[in-house]
Amino acid sequence: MSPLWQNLLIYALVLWCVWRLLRKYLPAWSWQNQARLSYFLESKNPLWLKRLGQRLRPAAVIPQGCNTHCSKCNACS
Amino acid sequence: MSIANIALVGNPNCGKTALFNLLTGSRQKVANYAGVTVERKLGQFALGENTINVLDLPGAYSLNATSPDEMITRDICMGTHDYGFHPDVLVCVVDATNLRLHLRFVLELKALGRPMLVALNMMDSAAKRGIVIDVEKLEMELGVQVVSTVAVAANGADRLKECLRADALPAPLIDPQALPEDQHQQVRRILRASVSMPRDTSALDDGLDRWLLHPVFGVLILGLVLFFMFQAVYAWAAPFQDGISASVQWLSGQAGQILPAGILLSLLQDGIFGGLGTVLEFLPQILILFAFILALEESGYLPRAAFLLDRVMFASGLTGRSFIPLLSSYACAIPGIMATRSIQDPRDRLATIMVAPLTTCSARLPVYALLIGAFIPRQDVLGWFNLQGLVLLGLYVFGIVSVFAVALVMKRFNKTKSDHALLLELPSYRLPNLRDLAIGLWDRARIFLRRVGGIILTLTVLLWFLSSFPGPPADAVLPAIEYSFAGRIGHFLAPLFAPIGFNWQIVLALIPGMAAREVAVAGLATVYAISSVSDDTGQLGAVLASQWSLATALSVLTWYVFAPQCISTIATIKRETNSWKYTGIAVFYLFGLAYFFAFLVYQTAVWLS
Amino acid sequence: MNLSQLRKGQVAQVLGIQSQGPLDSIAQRLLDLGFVVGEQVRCVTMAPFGGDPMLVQIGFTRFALRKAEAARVLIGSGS
Repeated sequence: MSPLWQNLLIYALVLWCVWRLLRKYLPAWSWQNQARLSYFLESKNPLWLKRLGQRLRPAAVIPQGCNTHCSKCNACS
Repeated sequence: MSIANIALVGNPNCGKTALFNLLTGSRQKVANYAGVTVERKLGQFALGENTINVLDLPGAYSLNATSPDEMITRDICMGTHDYGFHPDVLVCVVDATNLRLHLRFVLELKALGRPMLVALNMMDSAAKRGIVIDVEKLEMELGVQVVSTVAVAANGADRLKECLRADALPAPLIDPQALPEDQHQQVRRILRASVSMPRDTSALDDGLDRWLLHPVFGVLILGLVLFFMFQAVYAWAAPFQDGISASVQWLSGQAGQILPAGILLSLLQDGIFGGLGTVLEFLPQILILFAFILALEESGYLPRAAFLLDRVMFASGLTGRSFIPLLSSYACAIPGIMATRSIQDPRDRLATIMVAPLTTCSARLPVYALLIGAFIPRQDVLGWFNLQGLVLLGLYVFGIVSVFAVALVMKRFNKTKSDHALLLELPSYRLPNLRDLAIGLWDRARIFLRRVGGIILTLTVLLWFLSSFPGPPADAVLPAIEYSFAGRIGHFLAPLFAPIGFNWQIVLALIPGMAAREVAVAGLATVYAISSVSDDTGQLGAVLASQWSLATALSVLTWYVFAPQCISTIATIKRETNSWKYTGIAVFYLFGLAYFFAFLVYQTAVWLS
Repeated sequence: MNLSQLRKGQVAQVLGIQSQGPLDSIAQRLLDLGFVVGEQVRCVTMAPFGGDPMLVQIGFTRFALRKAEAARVLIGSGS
């Protein structure tokens, strides 16, 4: 695997990790922005962008985040 | 219309949780009641074609609630608050060996006029003690359906399940005069008619309590039990630890053979295998410790310990009831802090919450184990005792002493008097049930692995990234890592921590280490792996032993005794106290003590060497 | 005489509960737990470091009570 691909993969992974952190500690903020991105994409004409927007739609309910000790969260017990 | 939702309700120590485990197996979920910080245990089981939802309500002696968790039980039984669960049937679980106490609550619940049935639990213990219960007579006298259960037997809930097949259960007839005195008279009458007990108490309980509650021997035995626990944590875990370490190293080596050298390999070897692998090594120790805590809890010994320690705890501004939440905190402070709901007095509760982070939670174990393993020689003291185990015990003792000391200081600040209630039931001793132990341990392992795959993985990758980028310039003189983001951040903050002997790598690892203590271990492993020349990703301990001074290691250990390196704990404190002020005080005093004692230890160690 | 004065091994009968102040939830709880008139109570043992709390047996249950809590229970030696 060439260094370029390796770097791209790494950047993708890092971004994904940052996104996970945001989702955990700023759930409302990240939900809103995910929704914004999703609607933006859905409003564009190319079909594949629309589909991408649909795939990115966030869950119907904003998760509460790490303070409520629901068992979905990784941080608590 | 068939029965869909049931709630298990009963006095504490009736075996409700064991029954819940029997019914739901591992299909249970612990969540939160909306708006209230009381744990909600919800599970499911299949009955024919239907699925029945089971809610395990907090144990309560009476509907006259005296603590937050009893209020939940009251609210759900009486239907006064909507917590999103509406039981079709109340299953009132009673301890067949102590109907004198438990039946009164049944009468209180009966007065609510809701469909209910009585689960006569622990029938096996009753039989062993020669207690004979005429179940039909009991049913007749109570006016409620009674079914016997044995929560510790595989088929022990079958009769209960049969009853729940019905479409609905009848509601009992309400007796308009239900005064407490009358209730006790009623209970006596019912017992006379349907139960024969050869003895007031179990001979086993009497015999064991004679020693375990003895003023001298009891305390000695308690000390021995705790001591044994900590020695076992080290000695028994060692082979498993080595096994995990070897496996991770092997995997890392394989990755080196498959992938070409480069940045991706570094991520895998230094970041993921190095970082996460090091943390995973400590799973055996955590499980062994937790197994002891669970076994002690199930056996009924813990309230005895609370009894022995109450005086000492009361003098320090806590209460004997604090013992159980504090002991739970040895696994993890979060459920420990939540367990303080059972403490009635708000001042005792606050004091317990404020000192709970000082108990040596299992997340500290990886840090302690790493440093002890690296810096304390594997020697035997006096032929019997393992030196490393002794130091670990010493750290735990240090934590315990600080719990009392801080509680004492807080007592000085909070002079208001109030009724401090103990009123603690000492239940019968019983043999811990292996199935329940296994479920508890499996839960614990799952939580730990989720943490590793979740927050620890995320932060390890990020830390690895920050430590690897930007790469060193062509004319680099220092190790590559010093040029990275992480290197710069670490160097920037390091002067703050120089007085306590922390180098920049430690400081750096502490930052993501705020999310979870184990992350510091993974972080250190990653940072040192990146800085190292060899391909060997394991043996962080050996690397540290060669790079740090003993003084620094001791200082880090001391820091970790106090520092609240856990956002989730801080968040839990905020939720349970509902106060930014107290949360702020907790964070401030904990970091303050951490810095102060680390300073003392470091300077003393340097001065002595 | 109240329960806090009972010595180890001694047995007595409960004569009643004495509230300490209005809305005494401890008194109510003692009633709920079975400290009712006529019930036999036994002092099983006392805790180390001063004998507080004490372990009592009422009915078939054992409770650890602080002296302050036990003081609410009035007892007498009955038959």
